[in-house]
Amino acid sequence: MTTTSSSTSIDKTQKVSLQVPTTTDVPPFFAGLHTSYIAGLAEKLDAKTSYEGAVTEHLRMSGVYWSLTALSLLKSPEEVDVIMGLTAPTAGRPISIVDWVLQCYDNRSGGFGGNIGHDGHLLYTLSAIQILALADRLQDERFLNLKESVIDFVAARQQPTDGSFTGDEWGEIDTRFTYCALSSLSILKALDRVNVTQAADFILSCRNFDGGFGCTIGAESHAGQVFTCVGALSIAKSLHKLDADLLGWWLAERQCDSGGLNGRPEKQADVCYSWWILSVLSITGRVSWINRDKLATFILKCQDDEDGGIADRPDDMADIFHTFFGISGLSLLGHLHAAIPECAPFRQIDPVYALPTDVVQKLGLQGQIMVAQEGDSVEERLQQYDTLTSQHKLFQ
Amino acid sequence: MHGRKRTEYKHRFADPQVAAGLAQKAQQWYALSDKALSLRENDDASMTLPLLDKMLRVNPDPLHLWNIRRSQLLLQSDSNWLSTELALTAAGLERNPKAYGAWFHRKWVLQRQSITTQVSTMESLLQQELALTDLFLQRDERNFHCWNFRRFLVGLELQLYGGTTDQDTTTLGDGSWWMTTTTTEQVIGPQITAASKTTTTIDSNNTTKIHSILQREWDFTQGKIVSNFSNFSAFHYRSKLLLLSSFGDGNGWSPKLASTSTQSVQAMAEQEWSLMENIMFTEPDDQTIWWYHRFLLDFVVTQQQQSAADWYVPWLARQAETLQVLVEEDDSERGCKWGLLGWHLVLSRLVASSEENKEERHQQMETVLDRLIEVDPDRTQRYQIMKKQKQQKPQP
Repeated sequence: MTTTSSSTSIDKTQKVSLQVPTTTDVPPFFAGLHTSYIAGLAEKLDAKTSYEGAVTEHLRMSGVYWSLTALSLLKSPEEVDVIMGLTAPTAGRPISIVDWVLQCYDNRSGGFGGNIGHDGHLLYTLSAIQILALADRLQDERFLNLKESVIDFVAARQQPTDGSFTGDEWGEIDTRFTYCALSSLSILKALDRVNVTQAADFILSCRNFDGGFGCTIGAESHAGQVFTCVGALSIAKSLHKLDADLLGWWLAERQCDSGGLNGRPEKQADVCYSWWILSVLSITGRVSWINRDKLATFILKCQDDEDGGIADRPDDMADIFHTFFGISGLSLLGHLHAAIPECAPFRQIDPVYALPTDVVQKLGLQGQIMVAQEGDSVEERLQQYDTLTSQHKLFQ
Repeated sequence: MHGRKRTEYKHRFADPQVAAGLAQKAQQWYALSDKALSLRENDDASMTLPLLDKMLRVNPDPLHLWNIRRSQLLLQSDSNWLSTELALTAAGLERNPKAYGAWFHRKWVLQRQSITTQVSTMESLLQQELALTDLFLQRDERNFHCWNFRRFLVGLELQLYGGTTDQDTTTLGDGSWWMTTTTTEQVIGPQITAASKTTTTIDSNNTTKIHSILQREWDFTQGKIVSNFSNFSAFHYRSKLLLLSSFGDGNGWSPKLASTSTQSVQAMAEQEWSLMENIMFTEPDDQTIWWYHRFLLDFVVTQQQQSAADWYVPWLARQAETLQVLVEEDDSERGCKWGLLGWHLVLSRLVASSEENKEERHQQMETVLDRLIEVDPDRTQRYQIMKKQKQQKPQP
């Protein structure tokens, strides 16, 4: 994609209105504010006097990934690189993000930790690999030297008994880790190092009567967990084993009167489920089963109109986690593109890998998506995936 | 920043005294954090353990700190650290009841204990642990971490009596329930990798004990449901417990019923329906019970075969009548969406099983879908697909 402007200055007044036809009193999307919010985050959290920085230092790797990916949906790759100091140090920061990521490699385990000196874990290993993919540095010689150990670390997490994955060598089992492992290995072109069929079968054994999935076999369905399970099944090309109608219905019923989505029945709506649920509805071709305008409106109402960033609910304090999920949700809804034609074209988010679609396409990442009915067209951004037509089961 | 009000939060930080206090806390945290990482190199448990204790009580989330702690514990010659670890994890969970790392550490400690401790000691320890879940679920009845932990405990408990036996091999301390006899389906899976495997045989004298544990869990869900019909987590657990009743003969169990001594599927289904009927008329807009209703209909079908049509069809017909009354009596603004969905479901099961009044029932289903489109326009797309299906594939 081309950059329409070489300027990386951030215009705080850049507020561009979204076209949301069915509702009135909808705030505009504050692209400029979000950009400055994300751009200022690192400096703020890096300060040794930042309380937020201290209590989240253990998951900094994921925080950096959320920041970068969210910003990547608002700015060109070149601008993101400069604003974030991705591949070269930026003003006030001693090293680039890529250098920092490489320093978070944990040679005791072979995985990446959440921060320098922390233990390797699948959660942070995936974030690290995603950051390197965003920075186009998967071929960096320093990473290539570590790559085999990273692959070994990930592959060794699979349990031979049932195909599940542990997060690290201490043995916690969770369907989140299956997604982290399959996504990491897919990006590193090493899926053949694990038993993918067994991994998919494990996921399916975690399915509940409502069509959803939980953390382990027997655990309650949770929309966040559903994303990791369906994402893993997509990468494993096993979506045909899903009851997509039942799951799609359960997910559609997560939409509350406010327009926002909740994660489980009778819980409050929260912006993070915009991503967890929309990604699955996108993968299974059922986004139209919810009211998209109402959801977009809910996300827009969760923006901080003074300092940028998006919160879990209207009037709550914003954070980078919800900012990422809110912007990604608006991207999956197509609202970012529809709203701001005069800006550099926003990159879109890929619902399987949670990376900009051009990154996924460039890396040739594999997966499977579903169209709801024979003859349905596949969105351009998903055309590289294998497509499965799901036959609607009778709704009984 | 889940649930933090923006204006309050910003206002609080704007107070220089508060800001200075938090900055000091941040600096203290970083000092401890650096120290913890440097101490791990020289394995001095006498310094490391108290330091980690201090840190994890304040912030129970960082996984690497729990890892360092476990590494140190394993180096101790005196392995009598059960009570300190239970106290520490409890304090951490008081701080954050959703801290994955703290729940996992507690499971890890209990797993090790379950291997070395004699049955009677383990029994009383597990009783204390179950009491702890009771307390946490009183504070947040939907905390899925805690529900998972409870199922983990039951796995350890069943293991004491050979109740987690997979043929002749018991996986020790992984929290799974691998019930014996007629089916291999695993209802509750491992949450942590097994410590070891051992060969064991079920002592038939223990069957009563195993049944009483399952009955206690059933009664626990009953208590939760009675105190709040909306507790989907309790209904979810119930769905798993009911699956165990399909184990049928010998070591099988089915929930002991309040109203009848017959422990047949019919009696159980009748009892569950009468519970549901009450809830449906009290809280018709609460989706919880309607999902469980759907589960029960599926469950009965898998248990009944065709042979019991003389009970099944009249049972459904009674439900259809009841739900018609519910729907027709409703004069709320919301239009009894879930009642309509439930009625449609029962009608679709009826026309699939009985020729009686088939035309009339098809007609009713059509009317219900039209009404659903009116009362729940957000999910029109799904109802349209359901209508279309009916036209394309008239049911046999």
